[in-house]
Amino acid sequence: MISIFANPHRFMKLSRWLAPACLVAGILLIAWSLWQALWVVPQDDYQGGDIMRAMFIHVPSAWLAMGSYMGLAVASFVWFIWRHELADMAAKSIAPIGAGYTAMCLATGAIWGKPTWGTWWLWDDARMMSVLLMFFLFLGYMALRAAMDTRQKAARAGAILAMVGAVNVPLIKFSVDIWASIHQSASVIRMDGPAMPAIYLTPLLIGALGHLIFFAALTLTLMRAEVWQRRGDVIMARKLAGG
Amino acid sequence: MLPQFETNAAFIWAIVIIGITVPALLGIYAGLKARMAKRRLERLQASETR
Repeated sequence: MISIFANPHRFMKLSRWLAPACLVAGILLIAWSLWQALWVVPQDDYQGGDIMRAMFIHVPSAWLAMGSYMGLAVASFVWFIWRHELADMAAKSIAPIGAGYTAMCLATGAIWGKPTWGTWWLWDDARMMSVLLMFFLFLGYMALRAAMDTRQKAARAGAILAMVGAVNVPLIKFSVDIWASIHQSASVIRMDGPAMPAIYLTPLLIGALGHLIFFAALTLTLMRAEVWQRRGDVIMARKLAGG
Repeated sequence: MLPQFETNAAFIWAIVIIGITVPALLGIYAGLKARMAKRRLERLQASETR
């Protein structure tokens, strides 16, 4: 599968139908999850009443933010070791979408925090600060790439930053266990299984799957744009060389 | 018909709006970027064959 996908020509052929198919599937799953969250799922008095419905948007965005950074780091690693251009294109494409999902996680978390904990933000909360750091890592990755004068330099500098920054992802996950945090400890991804009733867990997982598929659709679309961009650059270079 | 929430309705709707707007904007960004890159390539290919 990887060898099929690693060929840019085959990638363009495959992603031509895969990107819109993922887009439609992702939107349908997200819409179903939102419908469940707002109309179907009963409020949980133990979790603060109706405000717990924020979970169905905030938690998938948090998972996607962390997952996208890991995707960025893995794609950067693949480029760094094997110098495969599609891996660099994947890393470049993941960054803006990951930054968007991280911003969404921070914003929805702050709004959820106000009625639940009485505060929008805590500067000494390890979970909040490590997610904020990840947001700046995404922005830094894009700024660093844009600052380089050649594509190779941009890919190398970006890959190093992405791989070093990956240390932050396990810190986000385990920050609530290592340091004192206002966040509750994990209730879904746990060694002894999810500690959440199925009526909440199912729409949450379906919503997260929808966002993951939607994310894949956008990444494929941006990768296709990057392939077209580079093909255009080749023609431009040829024209300039020919006078 | 929109659901009625007993408490914190403004907070819930703010989160829902962000939860819809951010993915929608990302989708528009990706779509526009792909369209612009494709048009640029087509333009360059056409000028090359001329």
